[in-house]
Parts: sequence; C-alpha cells; structure tokens
Amino acid sequence: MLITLKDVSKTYDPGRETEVRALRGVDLEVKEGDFISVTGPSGSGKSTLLHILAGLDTPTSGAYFFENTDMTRASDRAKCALRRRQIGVVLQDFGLLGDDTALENVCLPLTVDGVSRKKAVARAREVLERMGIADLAGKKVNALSGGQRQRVAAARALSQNAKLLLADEPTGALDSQNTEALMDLLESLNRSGLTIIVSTHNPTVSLRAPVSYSIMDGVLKRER
Amino acid sequence: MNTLRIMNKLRSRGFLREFFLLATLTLMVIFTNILMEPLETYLDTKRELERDIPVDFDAALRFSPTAWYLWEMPEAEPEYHPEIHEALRAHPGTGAVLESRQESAHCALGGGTYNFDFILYSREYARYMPLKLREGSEIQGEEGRLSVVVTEAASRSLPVGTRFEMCPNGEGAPVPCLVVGIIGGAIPGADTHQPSDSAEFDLIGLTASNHPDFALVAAVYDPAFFDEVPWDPAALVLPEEGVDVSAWWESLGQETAQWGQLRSLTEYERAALETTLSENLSEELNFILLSLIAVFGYGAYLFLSVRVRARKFAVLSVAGMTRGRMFALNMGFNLGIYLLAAGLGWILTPWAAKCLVQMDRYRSAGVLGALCTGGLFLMTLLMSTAASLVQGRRAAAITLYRKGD
Ligand SMILES: Nc1ncnc2c1ncn2[C@@H]1O[C@H](COP(=O)(O)OP(=O)(O)OP(=O)(O)O)[C@@H](O)[C@H]1O
Ligand SMILES: [Mg+2]
Repeated sequence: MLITLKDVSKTYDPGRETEVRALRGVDLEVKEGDFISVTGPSGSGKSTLLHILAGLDTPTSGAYFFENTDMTRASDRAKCALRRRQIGVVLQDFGLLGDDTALENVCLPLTVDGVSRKKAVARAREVLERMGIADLAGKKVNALSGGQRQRVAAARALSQNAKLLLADEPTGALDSQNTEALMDLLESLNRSGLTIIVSTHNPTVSLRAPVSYSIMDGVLKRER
Repeated sequence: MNTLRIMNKLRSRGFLREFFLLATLTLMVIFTNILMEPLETYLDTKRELERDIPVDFDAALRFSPTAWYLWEMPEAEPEYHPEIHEALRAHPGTGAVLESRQESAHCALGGGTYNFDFILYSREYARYMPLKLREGSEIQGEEGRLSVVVTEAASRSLPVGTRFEMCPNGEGAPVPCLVVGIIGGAIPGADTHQPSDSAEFDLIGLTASNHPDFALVAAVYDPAFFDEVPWDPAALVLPEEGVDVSAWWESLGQETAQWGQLRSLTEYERAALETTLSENLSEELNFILLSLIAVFGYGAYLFLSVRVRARKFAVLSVAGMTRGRMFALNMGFNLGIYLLAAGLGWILTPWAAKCLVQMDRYRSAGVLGALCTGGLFLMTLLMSTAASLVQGRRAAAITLYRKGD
C-alpha cells in the first residue's frame, strides 16, 4: 500500500471560537498506480487532505503511513526528503516563483536536493519536454497563461521522478479545452506508472479518474 | 553554490522595497555608531590615561572638605589649606597629595573676548599626571608671559604663538600669556581620573613660564601669576609604594575626619557618575528611547524581511526544503544584508555625524561601536527571525491555501 489513512481528523484552531473541523475520520487506501479524484465544494477540506498527504500539514488525530513511514511521527527532515524525491505537489495556486523562468522553477526541488546545476538543468529540460512545454523554458512564469503554469507546476512536481503526484484543483483556472488536455497528460503519466490524486470541484475531471471520492464537510466517501 | 542560488531567489525582485530595507538598516547602524561615540571616546581616553599615567588609581583616595563635591557647599569659601595638605602628606604611608582645580577665564584677544576653562595643577600633580603635548607643536616660552598649552579645539581661536591677556574668573589683574603648544593626549580631570577628551573642550592647560621643557605641562601653580587664586582643598591622595592600602585608608580616615571626608577614588567616581546620571535624566531617557527605536528598527526590518518572503518559504517548503535550512538561509540572507548595511553605515557615519547631528568631530567608532551594532543586530536577528518564522509559517500556511498568485 502506498498510502494508508486511518481515522484522520484535522481541526484548525481547536478550542477557539474560530475552530474549524476541516477533516473528520478520513479513511483512505491508495495503491501504487491508482488515479484518484476527490470532489467537493469549496471549503469541504480538499486542500487540507492533500496537504496532509504531502506532509505539509499534520493531522490532529489518526494515523497516516506513506509506504512504511509513519508521517505523524516523521521529522521535518524526513518529510522534506519525501517531498523532494517521492511526492510531487501541485498547489492550488501553482506555488511557482513568478519572477523566475519556467526552467528555474522546475529546477527548484533539484537545487534544494543538492543536484549539480548541469544535471538539474538537463533533467528540468527533459521534464518540460515531456509536459510538452519545452519551448517555454526561458519564459518568466508571470508571462505564462494558466494552462502553461499548470504544466510548469506539474513539471516541477515530477522533476525528481516522484511516485505520487498530488494536484490540488489543477483545472481550477483552465477552460474546458485546456482541462481536457491536462487530463490527457495526467492519464498518460498514470499509464506510465505514476500514482495520482487530484482534488477538484469539476465533474468532468472526476469522471475521467478511474477511482472517485467525494468530500463534504471533511467527510470522505467513496463514489466509484 | 546551490545555497547561493536559493538565497538569490529569496531576494525580492521589488528593488525599491529591498533598497528601503537596506537604507533603514544602514541608518540604524549609523545611529548606533553615533550613540556609542561618546562612551567610546570616554573609554578610549581613560585607557590612554591609565596607560600614560603611572598612578594606581584603585589605591588612590580623594580628600574633600565635608562634602562629596565642592559645589555642594555654598557657604564654605574654598581657600588654600596648607595645613590640611601638610597633615595628609605627613601621615605615614602617604606618597603624594595631588592638588588641582578647574577654573574659567576671560581671554582678551584681538578686540574680542573668549571664555575658556583652564586647569591648575600643583607641581606634584604635574609630575604624576603629565599632559602630553602634540609632537612638533611646541615653541619656546617668553620671560614675563605665562606659557599656555591649548587643546585642539581651543587652538582654533588660539593658535600656537598667540599672545593674549587672561583674567582668571573674570576678575583681577590680567595675566599676559603665550600659546606654546597643543595638547596631544587625554587630560586628567581635576582630582579624579575621569578623563576628558582634549579634542572636545575649550580647555587651556597652563604651564609654568620658567619650565624648561614641556613634558610636564600643566598649570603648575605659579604665585607670580596667581597670587589671588585660592586653592581648592580637595585633593587626590596616593599611597607610598608597598604600603598596606586598607590600613592606610583607615588610619588616614581617622586623622582627617575633623577636616573632611576621605573616599576611595572608585567610590567617588561612582557617586559622581550617579549624580551626573540623575542630573541628566532627560538625556538618558532620550538615549534609552533612541536605543529602543534602534532595536525595534532592526527587529522590524528582520521581521518584515521574513514576512515579505512568506510565499517563497511556502514554495520552498513544497520543493522539500526543511525548516532548519530555511531558518539558516534566512539568517544568512539577513546577515549578508546586515554586513552590507554595516559597511555602508560605517562609511557614512562621519558624514552623518557632521551633517545630521552636528557632532563636531566624530572619531570613528571603534570596537565598542562594532560590538554594539553587531551584538544588537545578532540579538534582534535571533529574536525576530524566530518570531517571524513562526509568523511566517502561519502566513505560509495561509498562503498555501489561497488561490491565485
Ligand atoms: N490555515 C488554516 N487555518 C484555519 N482554517 C483553515 C486553514 N486552512 C483551511 N482552513 C479551513 O478549513 C476548511 C477546509 O479548507 P480547505 O482549504 O481544505 O477547503 P477546499 O476544499 O480546498 O476549498 P477550496 O475549494 O475553496 O479550495 C475551510 O473552512 C477553511 O476555512
Ligand atoms: Mg482548496
């Protein structure tokens, strides 16, 4: 099993007036090679779930294992190492550095990981090529369209051959044509063995994923 | 190399903002340097004095009639008390009794009059605490004129070679004087070893006209010129070499109890400092206020420097950078900017001292200034980096959840 979530809950500002129960008793098992969509309205807890899966946030209670790593106990170092090599994350706002070029952004995890400049650039170009945006390498992210940014963000997430791709509303800013194109890309990545979890509130996206979950007020339910 | 590359990404591309922060920090450095300057000068001069003057100040006693300070006894007319000084001198264990006093004088010169302070030293005082003359500045004295050495500041209106008339305390017969040299080192303050920076005050030291060389300059009391000037009975009393200091202190204290008070110099200076401090309360409050502004200036700078990077930290965290490394990077980044600001600040301080605060002559801040700015900076760096990272993490967490760029 790649991911095992058992009775995971997340409460923001517990005990205060602003308390929010973003996740309630979430159980989830993900095998390697799965392609899963999580659908829910705004504020239902999609981002929270993905951030916990990425180790960017910790559950308030419950157990989370990534392969054999107990993510609720793992050190910041260990979680960061996982994010550098195994878990690629595409944030809802893409999380790109707008003043840097697409190439620089894709190089970032490699640079942080201590990969030499030459290797990092070569690797980044290769991934950009695979995403079909090799020609954008030298462009500043701020000058790119939403669909192009989405691909740069995906390229960055996959720059180190991650096993798992977590994409938070990857089609949120895209028109239907670009949405289809991105789903084509994700499908082909999935066919080559990548495990993918996407969150979305777009039914078209959830329909194209083989496995579909819905989330409502922090409660996760299997649909298909 | 990779670390430098990531650091470069932390830099905000908003040139103006980064420039503004750098300018603020530079101002803070200048500010601290200027604040520290008087203290620095004081300590420097004191060190100089202790090096040049072979007196063990820790063993010295200060004798004063009835009160700690002469200016606290309005009724007592200060007069020369030869018998008191004789008794102090004759006491077993006493090595020397050093008398000195500070006066002011009107000097007539080229139609105008100037006010100067001068120090009168007894011959003994001049022997123990010589004034240093600036090398090459001295000229020969003249018969019938009081040879006078002046400070750097006073030499602007009284250059070497000037002949002038001086009225001590603004009364009595004018004394003809000749400026024969410029004081090059620290001036031992009257009867303490609190130094004053010779460069800062309009002071003239008076020399005996018949003194063959000016190694022992000072206003050696010369009755030919100052027969009406009464001596202040306050004096510095030094033990003989090898004497048991505490026993000598005690027996001398018993003997002089009828005339006045005997205090150790250290004690006296502490009391003097306390008095000065309480007298200058408003200035000290200003100083504390300004220091607080400086600390908050640093703190705010550093705090902001993290806040403006909150999103970048979020992005780096997604790219797998640990919090520890981010903390270190941020420290390194701020340290770099600080070093830049410190360099700029130190270059600009003399100019700022002159133009912004009208500090006449700024001696470049030394170790103390560096320690102070550096220490202050490191302290605020640690505190605010920690605080801002906590805040920054919150901000980063919230940033992560926000849509759009
Ligand atoms: N850092 C935080 N502090 C406090 N509350 C938070 C925080 N992050 C999210 N929340 C709250 O948790 C709940 C779930 O938020 P989350 O971002 O996971 O929803 P979402 O499904 O991703 O919504 P959207 O579709 O708008 O992105 C919301 O009510 C949100 O306000
Ligand atoms: Mg969301």
